[in-house]
Amino acid sequence: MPEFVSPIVNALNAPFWSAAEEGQLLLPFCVTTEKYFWPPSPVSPFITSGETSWRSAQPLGVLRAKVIFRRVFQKAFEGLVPYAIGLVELDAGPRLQAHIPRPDSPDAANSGDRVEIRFHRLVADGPKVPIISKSN
Amino acid sequence: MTFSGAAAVVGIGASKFERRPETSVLQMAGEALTGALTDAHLTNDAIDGLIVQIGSPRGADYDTIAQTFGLDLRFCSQTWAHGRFAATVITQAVMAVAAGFATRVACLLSMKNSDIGRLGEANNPYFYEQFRESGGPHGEEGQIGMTSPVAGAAMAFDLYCRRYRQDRELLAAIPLTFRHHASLSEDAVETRELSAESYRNARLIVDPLRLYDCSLVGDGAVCVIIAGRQQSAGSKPPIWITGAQGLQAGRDTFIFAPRGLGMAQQSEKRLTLQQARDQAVYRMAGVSPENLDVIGMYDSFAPLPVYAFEDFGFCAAGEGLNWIQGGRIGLRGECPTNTNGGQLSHAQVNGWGQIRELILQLRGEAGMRQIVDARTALWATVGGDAIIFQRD
Repeated sequence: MPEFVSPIVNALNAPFWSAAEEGQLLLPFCVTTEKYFWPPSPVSPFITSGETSWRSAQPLGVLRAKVIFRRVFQKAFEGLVPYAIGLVELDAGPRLQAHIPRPDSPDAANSGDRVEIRFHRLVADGPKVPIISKSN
Repeated sequence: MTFSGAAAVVGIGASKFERRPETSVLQMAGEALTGALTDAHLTNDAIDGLIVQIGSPRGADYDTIAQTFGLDLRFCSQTWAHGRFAATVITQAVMAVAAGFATRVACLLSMKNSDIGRLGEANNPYFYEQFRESGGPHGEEGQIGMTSPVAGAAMAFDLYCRRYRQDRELLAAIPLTFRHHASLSEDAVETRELSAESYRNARLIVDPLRLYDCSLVGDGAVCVIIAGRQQSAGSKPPIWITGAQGLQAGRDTFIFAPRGLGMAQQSEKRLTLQQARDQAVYRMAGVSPENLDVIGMYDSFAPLPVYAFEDFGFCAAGEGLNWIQGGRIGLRGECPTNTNGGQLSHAQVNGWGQIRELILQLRGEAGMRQIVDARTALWATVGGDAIIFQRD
């Protein structure tokens, strides 16, 4: 199979990726319980047949854990190795995974740190994806 | 329909487990199926049910198996292309026999990994799964570089060590103990003893997991024949399935984490020790963790048995890394686990190597690894699925 690095974008999840291109964090939201959730769903995961909407969220949270890739799995990201992936618990509720560039540099985020999610391209022809930086 | 004791393992067979990229997966399936039939003193026509765990392209689909081996089947089933369904396959076979859909079901895992690339790489047929809608089956998200099952296991282990403030080096007890067990197994892939120093100095695969925290990429096949009460009299003592529980899924699960660890959208609410000791598999079989003579735990990555010991009531949540120390899970310990070496050292065949080992142990056929008078065995995974096997 030819390698690619783009997510499957469809009618269900397109609002997240469209907002990401604008640098914004947009999350699915349960109208009844007034809670954000992840991953996208046509109905709320919290109550039966619950109505959902998309709502912008503060891209702030805490880094709970991370892993570091020191060998190449995806050729497209060869030049980025080593990189890390972090598990971010957003203040808004859901947890998201996001990319951490240069994990060995002193200013890279560590577990327990307050972090911010921004959206950047990892490769020139790829989508904008969530990237973790330390929050000030 | 009563499940407990409705059916037994009456035959078991296996291929060799070395990497054989030139081999057909059907040749391996044939070695396992023929071995199981011989073991049970049965002929092809005695088999009227088949459940295949992994189909094409890593394995062979149920219809190919039936045609190739001249089986005439009235009940067939097949699970998806991953691990995680070994207990489900056996549970389905018992249900099929108990409900009258078949009299004898061959449960078959045959797969070949040595001729395909690593998971997460473009030359692996499962490359696409890291882009599965809403994330891959082990937490993969290919668009950010979160690829390969080992990464999900590494993330959960990092989270676990932080949550419980545990020293990750304690994990060494799992691969070192299982490697010692493999050194006593005639057909294990890795039999050289592993030192603590080699473990510590091995290369990182995805930090914090190292080379010996990962199961071996390999090839192999195992066949288990399940028969109902009326058909259980065979050449070998029947090994009864007296308890089982299913694979769990939901927002509180993550495939490589205990319930409620805090991965993905999991809560942070772990099972209490009482809840873990009261799992359905124990209630169905009427046994407690203390009654188990030998244990098989799914160990595609070293941390997984640690979590399973917690979720199945051997110790409290967060205590697993300390609990496994001091020889407790070794052949002479109170909870001998993965006595042929597990997926980490015996062979990566989605847990079937351990299911086979439990049957051999309960029959008294485990050679140098034999646990004296083993009567009750537990197979369990961190996914929540489990089976209790017992001999008369």
